[in-house]
Amino acid sequence: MTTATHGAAQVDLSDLTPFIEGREHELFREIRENDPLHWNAEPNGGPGYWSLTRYADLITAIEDPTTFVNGLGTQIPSRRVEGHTPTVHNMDPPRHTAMRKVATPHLRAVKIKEWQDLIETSVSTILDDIAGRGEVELVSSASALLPIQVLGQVLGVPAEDCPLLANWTDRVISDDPEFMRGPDEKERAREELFDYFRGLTEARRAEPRNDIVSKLVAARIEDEPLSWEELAAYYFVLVGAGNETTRNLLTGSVLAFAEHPGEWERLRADRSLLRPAIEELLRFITPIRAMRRTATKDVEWHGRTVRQGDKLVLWFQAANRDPEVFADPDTLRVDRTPNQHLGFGWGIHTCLGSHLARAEVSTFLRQMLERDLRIVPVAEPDRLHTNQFHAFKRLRVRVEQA
Amino acid sequence: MRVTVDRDVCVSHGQCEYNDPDHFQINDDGDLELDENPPDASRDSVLRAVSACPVRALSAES
Repeated sequence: MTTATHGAAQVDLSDLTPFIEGREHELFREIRENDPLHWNAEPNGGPGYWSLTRYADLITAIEDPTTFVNGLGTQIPSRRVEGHTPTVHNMDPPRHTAMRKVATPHLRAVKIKEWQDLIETSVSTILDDIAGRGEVELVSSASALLPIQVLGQVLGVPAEDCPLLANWTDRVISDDPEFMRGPDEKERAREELFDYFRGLTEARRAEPRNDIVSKLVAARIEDEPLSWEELAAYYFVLVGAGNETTRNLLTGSVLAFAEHPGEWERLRADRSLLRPAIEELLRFITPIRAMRRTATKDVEWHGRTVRQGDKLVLWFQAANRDPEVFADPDTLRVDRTPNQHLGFGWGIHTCLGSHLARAEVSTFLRQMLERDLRIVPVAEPDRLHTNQFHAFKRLRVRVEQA
Repeated sequence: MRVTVDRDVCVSHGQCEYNDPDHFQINDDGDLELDENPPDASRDSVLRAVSACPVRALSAES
C-alpha cells in the first residue's frame, strides 16, 4: 500500500477557504506529488470521495466510461442539481451518444460562424461602455454580459429575458451564501427555469426559428421526440454551462495577463498567437475545476482499492498544471504547443459548447487588441464559494488605452 | 497520408474540424465528413486534428 506523506493525506478539498483565497494550487501540488489517489472525507455526513490530480490518471479514468460513470451525478456532493431529469452530462451511452448528436450539428465550429456577427456586436458594445467609464466592475459589466447575450440568441431567448438566465445560473451552480436565500433555493430556481422554457418550447413548436430550442423540439431519436423531461434537462445544462464557464474564462484571462504582463505584450506584437493563447488560457484558468464519476466495480489503483459505488473526482485544474505534461506549468505561455489541456474535459463528455466559448473569448481579446485596450485589476477578485468551478463574482478593474 | 475514422467511436465533438476545417467537417446530421487522403502539405494541421480527438476516433498513417 502506498502511504501518503502526512501533509498530503491531510489535504481537505472540501474546505472552500483555499479556493476562495486562490491558494488551491498549493494543495493540488501536494497531493499530485504525494497522494495520487487521495481520500477526502465529506462534510455533512457525505460518504467521502477519491481525488485524482495527475494528468495520466485522469485520462485513464475518463477513457473508461463503463467503470467510471457519469449517470450517478457529476457534482462532488451526492446530489443532482437538475433534479431527477436525465441531463446529457449525467448520462451514459448509448442514450448519451444519441442525445449529444441532437445538439452537436448546431454548436460545431463552422456553424458558430453564423453567430459571429452577434458576438462581434456584443463585444464592441461592451468595450465601448467600459472603455468610456474608466474604472468598472468587470463581471457585471463585461464577463457575464457577453455569454448571456450570445447564449440567449443561440437558444432563442429574447434579449429582455436574458438576465433571467444569469440569475438561475447563480442560484443553481453553487452553495455560495450570497445567492442562497433559502434552503430550497436551487429547487425554486430550477422550477422557474423549467416554467419559462415550457412556454418557449410551445412557442417554437408552433413556429420554429433558427435556434437551439427549435432544433431540440424538432429532434427525433429512433423516431421518437425528446420527452418534456429530456428537453427540460437539456435546457438546464445549456443555460448553466453556457453561462458559468465563459464568464469565468473572461475574468480569469484578465487576471492571468495581469499576473503575466509580458504575455499580453507578446500578443500585442503578434496577433497570430491569439489561437494558441486561448488554449493556454483554458489550461491556465480551467473554468470547471472538476467533475465527478462513480465506480461501477472495485478497482485497484495506486495500491488502494476504489470500491464499487465510490465517488471519484477528476481535478482538471490540477491535471492542467501537471509538470509531467506541461513544462513550467504555473507560467502562462501564449505560444504553448502542443497543449492538449483538459479545460474542456476529455472523452465522450467533452464540452459541447467549446466552439462557442472559444469564439466568444477570442473575439473579446481580439477587439481589445484592435483598440489597444488594457484591463488592469485594481483589487483582488471576489471568488465564488465553490470548489467545483473556478468562478469570480466581482473584479474591480481599470480600463486603459495603451 | 491516409486518415481513417472509427465510426463506432466518433460522436462528432468537432475538435478535428476546429483544428483543420479544410479536411474535417461535421455535417448537418452531426456526422463527420473527412478527406481520407489529405495532401502532405497539410500534415501539421491534419495531425493536430487527429491528436485533438477526445475519443481517439481518428488515426493517421503516412
